[in-house]
Amino acid sequence: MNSLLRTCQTPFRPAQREACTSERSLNGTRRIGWSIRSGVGRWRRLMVSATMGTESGLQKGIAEFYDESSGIWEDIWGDHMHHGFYDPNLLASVSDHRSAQIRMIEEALSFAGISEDLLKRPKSLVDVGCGIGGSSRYLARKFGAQCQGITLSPIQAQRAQALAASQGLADSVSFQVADALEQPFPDGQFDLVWSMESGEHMPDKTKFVSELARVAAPGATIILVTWCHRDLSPSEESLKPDEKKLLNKICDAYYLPAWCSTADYVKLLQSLSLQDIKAADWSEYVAPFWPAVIRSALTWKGFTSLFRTGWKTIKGALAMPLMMEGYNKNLIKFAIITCRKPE
Amino acid sequence: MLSCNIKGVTNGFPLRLEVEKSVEKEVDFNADFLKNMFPKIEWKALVDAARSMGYTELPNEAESQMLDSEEFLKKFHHALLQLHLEEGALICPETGRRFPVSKGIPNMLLHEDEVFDEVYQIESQF
Repeated sequence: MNSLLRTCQTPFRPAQREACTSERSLNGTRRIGWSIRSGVGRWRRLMVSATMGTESGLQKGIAEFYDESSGIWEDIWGDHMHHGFYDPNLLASVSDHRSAQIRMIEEALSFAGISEDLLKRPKSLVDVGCGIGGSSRYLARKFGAQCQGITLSPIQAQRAQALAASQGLADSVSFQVADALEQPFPDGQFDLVWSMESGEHMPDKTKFVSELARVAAPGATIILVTWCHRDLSPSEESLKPDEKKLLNKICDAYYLPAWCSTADYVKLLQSLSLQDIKAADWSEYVAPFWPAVIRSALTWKGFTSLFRTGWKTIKGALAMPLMMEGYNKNLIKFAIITCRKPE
Repeated sequence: MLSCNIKGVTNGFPLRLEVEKSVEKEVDFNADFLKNMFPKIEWKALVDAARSMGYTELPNEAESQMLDSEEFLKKFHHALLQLHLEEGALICPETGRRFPVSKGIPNMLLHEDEVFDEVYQIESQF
């Protein structure tokens, strides 16, 4: 039986989605709106860019974006494709960024309460949206564990495997091209389910979170670090029009199909009866990141590399100031949400 | 361990191997690692997979006492860690669906009609 059906037969159903509706925005672009039940019976709309088209179109777009841009990212930034964690108000130099990215992993593990004790540490991990495997290799090495990584990008999977082999980790880390919404693993396989900045790409947050929960073993920890929009106040039905406009622009550049809030994720986890749910806003700890990425793109190396890659990467680079704008307006939040699957 | 997740499939594990090209890689022997992995392995699945790669040395059944034998550990090590499928496919035991493997990377992406989706539909007329 398809595992999603099993999940749907539990007493607590994940948030359901209505049939979609569509509306035309002012400039005539079609936007498809999705409603998500926000836990207390209210329906709210998530905006999905019509340029994504079908789910397979989105998958193709994501795969191509990363096929195209991973090389240049690795060249300039190394093998971790996520934000660094910085001390607030400290000026970060170029060399600090690499260690900040490592620190992000360690801070996430610490927030989730992951034990380093030999008996209690995770022994099998899944890296959902693994990029070129930076987190996978780091965690496998740290815990002496087996790690599986999944990505939509064949080029990333290839590179991830090659790096694992060159670092003597080929026996403990393996990668496949797979869909986070249909993970190719049996139920309950992993002690630690890790999603570092991939949730933004998921068109169906319910399915995404359901799959994270499904592949988690009893007692396992789920760590989700992702971009969210600000929580809505109780009187708000949706984000303001200018906020939606900004997010839609970012969606188009980075193949992000939908935004939700940290509170939405917490409700989804609650609906799946997951325990010890914790969430935090780490936006202040990642503040130096986008300015640093922009600066790296403006170096001679960055600039010339961009032109060698392709239009998708260039579009992504041009959208970076939009990310900064989103953070500065307290619209975009860098969120961490962790929880435990019941024993 | 990978399994087949096409909608309606009840027996999606273990995937069978279709071997076009396999390679043997040298991996350092680590007895403790193998002993830790043993309880998590579907032994029959490993035996069948190794056999399809041409390695027939594994016993059909295995118990944890056998982990005390160096000879057994070496065979286990070889099958689990040193045999790699480079080119070929993983086959769903129930539907026969092929998941291609290229340069050692399996592609487990489902086609749209293979995904069970009770709530998610984007109508093309939108």
